[in-house]
Amino acid sequence: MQAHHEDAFRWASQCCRYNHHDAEEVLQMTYLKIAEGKARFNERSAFKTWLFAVIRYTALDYLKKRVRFAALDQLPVLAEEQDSGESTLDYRRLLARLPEQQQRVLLLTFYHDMSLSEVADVMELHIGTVRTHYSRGKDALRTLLKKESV
Amino acid sequence: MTPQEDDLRDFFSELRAEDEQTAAPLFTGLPRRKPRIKIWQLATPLGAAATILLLFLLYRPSPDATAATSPTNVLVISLEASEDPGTESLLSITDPVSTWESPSASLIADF
Repeated sequence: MQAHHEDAFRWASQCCRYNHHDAEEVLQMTYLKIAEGKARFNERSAFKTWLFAVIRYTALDYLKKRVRFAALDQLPVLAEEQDSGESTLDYRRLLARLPEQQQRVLLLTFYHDMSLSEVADVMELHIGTVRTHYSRGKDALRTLLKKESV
Repeated sequence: MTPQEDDLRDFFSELRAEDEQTAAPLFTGLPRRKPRIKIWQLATPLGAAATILLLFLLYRPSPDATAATSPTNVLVISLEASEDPGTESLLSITDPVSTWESPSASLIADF
């Protein structure tokens, strides 16, 4: 678990649109699920793949509840947090312009070095769907990169 | 991944480098929570307690029975040892057959 902790935090952070507070919360909830036996590793896939899948649906649940219960005056703050980050080429902002599924598929393949079948396990999608997102995501990102470099 | 994907690989390695500037929180182990007692785990002790209570209610002695055996109604019979065991009297009574008269002898009309 400790060996995957850093990667798990990065993935949680990406699932929470780089809101680190939310990412920490999601990671704690994930660990609690594992400790309580609510999420069990059945060795059908690699441990990392399974852990990432648990983080993904924990983040989905968490964000749904957060949006439902967030006070209206907090929403602009969240939006500001998402836009934070300064660099010559804003990688996060650029990636955020892709559809969500394409972002996740590209992050899992290029950032977390997963195979497409592992991505399918994490995303709970059919391998064919993952291939489509992968291909379209790459094209879309390349187009954005070209626009940024011009 | 193919060599044509080098541009994307560079993009994500730059992104990773940027992310690594933010330190991940320290791993402190899996959180521990007090195990919750589930209702079915209480079934065995509760069932045993209920059975004992039921048996007690069914087989407890009735108030009348306890009154009958109360110490106020106890008849105490005590045996005292005496020098004469009293068996001699039985031996001393001689009732010879010659003098024996049947209890219904008076009914016989002997005129």
